[in-house]
Amino acid sequence: MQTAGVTATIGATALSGCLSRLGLGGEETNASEALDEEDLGDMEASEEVEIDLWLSVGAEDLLQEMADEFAGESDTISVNVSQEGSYNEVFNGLQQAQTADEPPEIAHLNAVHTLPASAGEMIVPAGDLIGSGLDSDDFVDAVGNYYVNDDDTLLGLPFAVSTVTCSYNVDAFEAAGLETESDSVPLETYEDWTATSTALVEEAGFPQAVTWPALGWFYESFMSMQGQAFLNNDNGRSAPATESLLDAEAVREIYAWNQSMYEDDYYLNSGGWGDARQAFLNEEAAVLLDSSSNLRSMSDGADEAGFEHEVGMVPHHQNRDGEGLIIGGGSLFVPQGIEGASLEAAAEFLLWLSEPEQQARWHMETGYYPSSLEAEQIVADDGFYEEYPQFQRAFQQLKDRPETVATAGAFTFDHGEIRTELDNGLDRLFGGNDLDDVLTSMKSDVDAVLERASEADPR
Amino acid sequence: MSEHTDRLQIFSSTREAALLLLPTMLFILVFLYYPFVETVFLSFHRIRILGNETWIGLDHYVRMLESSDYRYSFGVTILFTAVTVTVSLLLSLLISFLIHEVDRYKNLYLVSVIWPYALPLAVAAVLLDFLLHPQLGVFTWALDTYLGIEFAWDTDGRLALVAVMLGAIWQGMGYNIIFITAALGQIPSAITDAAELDGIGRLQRLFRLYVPLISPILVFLIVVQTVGAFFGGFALVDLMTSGGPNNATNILMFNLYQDAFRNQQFGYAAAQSVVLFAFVAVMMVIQLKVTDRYAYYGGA
Repeated sequence: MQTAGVTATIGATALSGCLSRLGLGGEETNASEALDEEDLGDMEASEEVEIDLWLSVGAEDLLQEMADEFAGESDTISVNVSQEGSYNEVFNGLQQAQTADEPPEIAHLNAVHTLPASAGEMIVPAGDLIGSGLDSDDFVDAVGNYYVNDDDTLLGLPFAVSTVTCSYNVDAFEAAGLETESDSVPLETYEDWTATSTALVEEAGFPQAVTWPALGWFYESFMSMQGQAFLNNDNGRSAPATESLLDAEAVREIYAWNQSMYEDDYYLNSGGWGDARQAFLNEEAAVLLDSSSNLRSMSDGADEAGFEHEVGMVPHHQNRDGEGLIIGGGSLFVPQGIEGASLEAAAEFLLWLSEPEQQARWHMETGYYPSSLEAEQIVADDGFYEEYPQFQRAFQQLKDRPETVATAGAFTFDHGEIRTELDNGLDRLFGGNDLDDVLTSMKSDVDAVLERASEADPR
Repeated sequence: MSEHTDRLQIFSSTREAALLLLPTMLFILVFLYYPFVETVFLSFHRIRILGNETWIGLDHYVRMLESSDYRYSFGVTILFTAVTVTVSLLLSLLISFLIHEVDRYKNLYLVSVIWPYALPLAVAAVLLDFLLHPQLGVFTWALDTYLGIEFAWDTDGRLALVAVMLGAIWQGMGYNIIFITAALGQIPSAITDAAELDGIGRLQRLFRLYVPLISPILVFLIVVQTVGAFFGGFALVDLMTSGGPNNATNILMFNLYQDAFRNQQFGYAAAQSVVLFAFVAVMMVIQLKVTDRYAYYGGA
């Protein structure tokens, strides 16, 4: 019995060990008062300091290399980059570090954490820190518009921003007798995708034609392509959202199309990211919807696998105009509790990272979008887009999107849990449940989360 | 002589004994009891960001009672535990018996059946995923090709639960077999010889003779494996199904983790943790009382 009791206690302990309550670390810092604006951009702190940056995505080595270059030019600042797990793990880790009064100077959080982090006063708005040094006119609208509060203050420095991107296997399209040029490839509407899938399976002998991870973000992107907001109150931007709009006809069109593609064996339900990418590279599917952040890896992988890789379109219903994609990925935040030389160093490094040269390099080596238009020009001048035109095509789709309620994307607490409910709905759909039942239950599940989320939202 | 002086005196003073006990007591207090009390405290609070707590009393417990998802998760956990513990013990008993009976290569058989237990659960889950993957798995491919059976556990919740249970049974058997084989080895050969002279069949010998004799070990394994199933299925679920499809494999431990570390509902997760602890503790008491009645510890 003692063994059982002790083991059971450990179960509880495992959780609470991570939940120690000590209050948010440090006094709140008024960043604009703490920093001397005149010194901003000199790449120096008032004393020698080493700062930590917690990254949530891959490319840790690349960012460390960039940070070392920055440190080489600075007499006082060095930056230590570490990959601290997934976005969720970094968000949780940051909270624990703040309770222990030891937050990193910079943390990389997901877009969906922007609201809880800022409303929970976990972070210092980036605009207060480096706003005077930023050229906000140079920001890509889609990026700049996401991470701002009601006063248009930038909350975090957009970094590793991505969208859903469509990759296709040019050789497979050729074998199926389809148009292969990216401007005219038949991948614009649901009708196109179905007809293209038929050709790929019947003419090119593919077991299945298309795949993407069955995850909520992709379906929110489908909604924005349909011009359909996901949540009420302007996608939760004018006021906390209280209801999802999953009963809209535009949403039904998405799921009906996906269901028929699945039942016809055209859509490969590959579950997670890794399986979908493997299916594309192993030529089990000829079209892949993925994060643009993985473009470089898919392009190189296709080279190795011996087929040509191109970027197509994320589809919309044939009776609608394709509106545009929501953004995903993350942003760099400076936590509350960072002060003095550390705060100066964090601000200097963020400002340096926001410069077009750094944004261009990050874009070229990863596929994540740059936040600045000038960076795109640098990439173009470098001749990179001639070698990898698919990068430009993907970025173009984000740049060209109209700024509407739908493309702004949902802004709410508990966005992660909402996406889990979308994933569960998909499980039911692919498990053979009736489409309307799935949509109804999914709406009530998401609305139940929204009820709690809107209560927590201080806006 | 007083009762006190009857006892074996190792330390001349209680102060010395207390001092020696102190490190252990401190360790237990800091790493076991303090976090447990903290968890109970957190369960009465709403916490959206760590450090910002609002007292809400029993709201989380009420929400748990009212939540059909939580009740479902509870049911799945009990089913998972009952099936994995029963099947794993039964199979382990049979395999151990066969190893006990065999004359040659005993150690080779023993090592080969214990081997899966030596694998970390995460590695076992990745291996199983390779074997059982709905589209790419070797085992599922063979099932589909030769028997025409589609083992689509990525979309069928019941099959997903079966896949995870198979994993837990396969991985857990090694531990049972170590103990049962050792216990069978302790049985005096005279008993076996007498049974054989009386013409008792093998299976009868196992269930009528050996099982009662090794019952204390079986009780121990039932208790340990039950606790293990409640707390230990996490890695398999996390790596193989992530609780899906449609929450079909969302056992309590995984549900708790999701609510704490994915959904940032630390208070609600703490309440789930407290309930899980209480449930397992009560179940252990009942289990020990019931099984004690049937276990044979020697003597008259």
